Amino acid sequence: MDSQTDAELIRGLLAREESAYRQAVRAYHAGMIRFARSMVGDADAEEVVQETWVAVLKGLSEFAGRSSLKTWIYGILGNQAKTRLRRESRTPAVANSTPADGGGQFVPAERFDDSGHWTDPPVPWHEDSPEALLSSEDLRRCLERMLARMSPAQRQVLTLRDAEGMGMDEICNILGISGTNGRVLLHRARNLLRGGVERHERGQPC
Amino acid sequence: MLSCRDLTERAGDYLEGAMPPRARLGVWLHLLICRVCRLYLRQLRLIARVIGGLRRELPPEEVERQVERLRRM
Repeated sequence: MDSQTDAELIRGLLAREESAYRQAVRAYHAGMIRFARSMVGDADAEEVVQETWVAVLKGLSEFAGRSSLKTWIYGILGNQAKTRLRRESRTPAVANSTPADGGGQFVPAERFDDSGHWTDPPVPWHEDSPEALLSSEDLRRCLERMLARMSPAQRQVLTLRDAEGMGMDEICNILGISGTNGRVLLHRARNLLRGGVERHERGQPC
Repeated sequence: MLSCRDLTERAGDYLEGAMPPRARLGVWLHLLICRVCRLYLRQLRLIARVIGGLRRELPPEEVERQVERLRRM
């Protein structure tokens, strides 16, 4: 959404117009729930999102427009989630790359020879567009399963970047991580999914 | 010369445009001669778009329920 649409929407929300509420809910709510789940888990996600909406409506008149409305909302959501985790003395699903999701290779080492050439190279997929790939219910399930299985930090960066289309700088601000860290997490997550599609293409279990 | 393994390590920074010009040129030269790595990179880009497609719309009745909550906030 560009800044003019943002301004229009904000005006409507401040005027408490139902159509503006509807537009905001359609634009943000599903994504907010998804992001909240990856931060605090399924059980608390709904409540954190509701608290976020309260804070958004309350703070909206002071929104300075230095970022997009969406980024501002997700920033509030991220803070609400962290506050809740602290209050319940739970460890945040930290967006720091641990060795498990940060370091090491992105593609398994055994797929290269000693000089770094592919020995087990990627092969073309039968489907070459997102729509065609997603039309397979099987593959869809495989991807959802892989998303659920990756580290919360990887999932957070991946969904904010590729599902919500945010810039890496904004994402790193929201999650409180460095740009290097964010890029590593994103690349790791995309490689995991690429491997999943590849296994699916080869008829192997996801 | 960059190896294929090097390329897979740097592809993340390359795709995010977070690479100094010289390193970028190295990746670009490798891609020029390596069909497999071009394919690898294309598949990563495709994955990024596939994730966008996984977004689910909120069912209309849930939209209305949430709108009602906002009205009462």
